[in-house]
Amino acid sequence: MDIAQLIVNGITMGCIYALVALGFHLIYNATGAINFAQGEQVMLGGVLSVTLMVMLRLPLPLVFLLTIIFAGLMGLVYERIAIHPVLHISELMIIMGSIAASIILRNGIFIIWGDEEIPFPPFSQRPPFEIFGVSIFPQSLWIIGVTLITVSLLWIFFRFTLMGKAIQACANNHIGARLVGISPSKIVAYIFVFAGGLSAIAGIIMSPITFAGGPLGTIFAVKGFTASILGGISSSAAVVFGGILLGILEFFIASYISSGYRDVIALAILIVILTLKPEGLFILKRKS
Amino acid sequence: MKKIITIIGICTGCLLILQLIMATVTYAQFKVGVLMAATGVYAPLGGASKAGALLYIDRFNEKGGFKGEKIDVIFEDYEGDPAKAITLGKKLIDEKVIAILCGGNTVGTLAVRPLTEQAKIPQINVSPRSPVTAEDLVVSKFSFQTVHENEVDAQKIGDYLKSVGVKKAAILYDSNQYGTSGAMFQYDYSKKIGIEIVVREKYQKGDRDLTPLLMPARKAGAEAVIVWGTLPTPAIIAKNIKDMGWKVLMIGSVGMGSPKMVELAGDAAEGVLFTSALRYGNPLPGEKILINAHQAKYGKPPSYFTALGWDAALLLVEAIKSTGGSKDPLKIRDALENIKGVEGACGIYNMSPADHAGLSKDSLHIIQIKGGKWVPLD
Repeated sequence: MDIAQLIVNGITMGCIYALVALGFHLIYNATGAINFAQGEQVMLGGVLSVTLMVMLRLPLPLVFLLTIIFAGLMGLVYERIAIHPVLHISELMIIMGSIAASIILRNGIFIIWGDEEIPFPPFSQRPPFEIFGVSIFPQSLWIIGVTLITVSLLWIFFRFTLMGKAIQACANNHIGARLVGISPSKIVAYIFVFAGGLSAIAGIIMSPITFAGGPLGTIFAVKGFTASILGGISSSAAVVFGGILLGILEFFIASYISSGYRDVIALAILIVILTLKPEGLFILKRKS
Repeated sequence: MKKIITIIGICTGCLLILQLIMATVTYAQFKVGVLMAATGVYAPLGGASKAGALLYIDRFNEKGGFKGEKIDVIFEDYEGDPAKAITLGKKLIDEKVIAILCGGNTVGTLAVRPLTEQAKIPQINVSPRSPVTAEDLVVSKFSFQTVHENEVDAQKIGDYLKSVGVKKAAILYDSNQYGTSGAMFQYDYSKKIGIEIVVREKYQKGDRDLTPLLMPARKAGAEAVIVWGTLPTPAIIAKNIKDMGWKVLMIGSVGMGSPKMVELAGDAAEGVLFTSALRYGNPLPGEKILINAHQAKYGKPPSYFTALGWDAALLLVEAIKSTGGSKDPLKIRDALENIKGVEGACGIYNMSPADHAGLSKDSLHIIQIKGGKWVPLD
């Protein structure tokens, strides 16, 4: 029973890691760099939605929609200001741009919303369900459900739409994509909009559990990054599995060993995997 | 060119003279350093303590100070960073302050401690010293604190649990020094009074779901969960306990005593207990003065950390008064150590060479959250 409960809670937390990891994956694929502002973009989703929901009392779907749109736009602004000018210089410059953006975003959030955690009401005020002795909170279902929907929508988008295919083409081969008439710099802008929106979704659904704002951004950025490396940053399915695996792993370590050593052990496992299977746990070897 | 040099020379000369005059003017005042973590993660603690200390000092100055001599505050914000605390502490000592009011987090106060010991300046802390090793247990000659020793807090919690018949309890604690020290005293004291500690687990500040630590506690039959840590994690623990559908007594140390607890945990905070030096609904006289002053200035009741800062300033003023207005840090230190029966907002302080916190168990109260309000149980 305990094990089932740990798995349920682990999957819940893992879904959040997976969404953050997806953001890392998208931007890595498009630019070859790691987006250091990912955690702050998650925070932005949280504080924006708490403002819309608690202060303006908007209904939940509208909160989701507006937050995602606004965070997406912020992603675009971020890309235009910090990434676009240095896009073709080197990955290092992109990383520097993202670090700058993360500092600006974090301090901006602290100035507007303060640096303390803000309480966030759960999406549905229901008691937890009991299934075979495992108590499942409604918020867990929300998190798992929203993650599933987001991941499938993303999958459909990349598989079946022209733009999705263009983005993939661009990730696979910049020069080739340009030869067939795709503008990589435009694609990168789209990617940042998507990543901003994705981070915002993670920020909204996790806030009832973790509170919005506060010093959380960095923690979740580290977790999401670990998840993406664990699974394999070059594949979207792999990072999602990486996130869920990391979540479950963390809960088992915390329960059976010690919460104090949780991160140490999780990161040690990461190092082992990087040594044995550097492309990531869930990446199938490409046929060369 | 020569002209310019002359002008600059005259200006510098004037400035130097002005500075000398200023120095002699400020010398007629009590120069006190306030070194708090007013921004950063510990802002809810250090910022509140700063407000409390300044509120008391402002009142003291408005009333004309001591024999016409006022307190001149030099404020520095160390942002909760011990390295910054050391730099700024040195700066304050160079400014020849007669005492430093310090705090926000424990590591900050501990970082400054060797400096004040060396410079022989009294340091009044608003954060507990949280001893962990035997070395820590030695009372520093120059450090005082307005907050209860963790040991006293642990005894209060232990006594309460025994009085309601709890036999098995779990301890969850923050991995920082405050939590570690508190959990250690809690464990030792519980053993002494016959409460079995079935689970003793530490968590990290970033943890957002404590269910994996609570499940073994429930399995082991814990009747109470004792939490040693500062917000927000205790609020998450309260929520997790409620979500698990576990009917258990949750009790926390003074670190939990903030209006933020109710705000963050909502319904889940209902029935939660914690120790507090303040009584709020039913204040004692010393606390009432602070509540009225705070209400008049900020329009809301003070937090516990405000009271700690207030008491730090209050103890310093009492010490200055008993020396007859001395500006000698050594004399003020001796006077601080001899403080007896001084009523602050947090209780009655009785200092001694062996006890630099001076607050007994009696000045702590068990508070329960009922209907979102704080209700003192004793």
